[in-house]
Amino acid sequence: MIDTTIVGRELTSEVITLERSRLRLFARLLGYPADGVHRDLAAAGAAGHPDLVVPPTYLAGLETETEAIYRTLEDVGVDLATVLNGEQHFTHHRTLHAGDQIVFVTRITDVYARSEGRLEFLVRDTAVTRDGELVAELRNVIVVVHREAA
Amino acid sequence: MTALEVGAELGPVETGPITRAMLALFAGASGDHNPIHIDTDVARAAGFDDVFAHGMVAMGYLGRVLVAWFPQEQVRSLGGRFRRITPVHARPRCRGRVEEIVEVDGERRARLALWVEIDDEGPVITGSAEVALG
Repeated sequence: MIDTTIVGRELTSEVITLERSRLRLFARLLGYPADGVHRDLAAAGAAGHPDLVVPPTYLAGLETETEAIYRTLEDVGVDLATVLNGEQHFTHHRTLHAGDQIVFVTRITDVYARSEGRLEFLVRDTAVTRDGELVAELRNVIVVVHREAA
Repeated sequence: MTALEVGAELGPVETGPITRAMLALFAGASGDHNPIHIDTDVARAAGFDDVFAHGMVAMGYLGRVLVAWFPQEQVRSLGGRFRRITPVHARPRCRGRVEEIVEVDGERRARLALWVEIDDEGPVITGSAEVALG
């Protein structure tokens, strides 16, 4: 069982720059239009944007890359191979662009079990800021599957 | 797009297909490096037959389709629950329906039900979004 005393733990990332070439690859892989504001600098400029527009689902993976979740799983003794992504939610307050610098503050807000303990859920809420301003909020729920639990 | 009415259907929009090469690149592009999506040995050791798409690939398609339906500046929220895995070679279909029109923080918004399906056996993602109406 996950130690519930981790609820309330908060981790703050370093300042992360949203990289243009990586955003473009992300948008290309997901099939965003080649001549649209997520991939084409001229199109973004023509639409009044200072740089490429960040896709609405981009921040989740970037938060994962801060490794806050991996550190948490390691601290509570959960093997990554037993973990599935359960839910992901985004609330958008501002449009973000390539070149923006952001910070993630991720708090573990709940841990609970279902199916007689065979499934455990870890809920994390993340505030994303740019120059101190709240620009987005993320909620992620991961599911820990205990295959051999009684 | 035509005037939004409660019950209006959005899509389907077909995406994909999911390929192994794409999953490898998506790991780096997205920042989700979980090897279960890119290394068959790891996937098999975890009890799966093969690698499978990151949940954020299917949700990423949904995000792309949503900002084609509505200007991204009007998308207030987007999210969902991952119901099943999306296997390699799948062609996820993104669909939606206008559930209600509400007023939040002084603006009119449409609440959408969104889902992604890959076959007739139930969605891989069930989600929702809130978009401001001009």
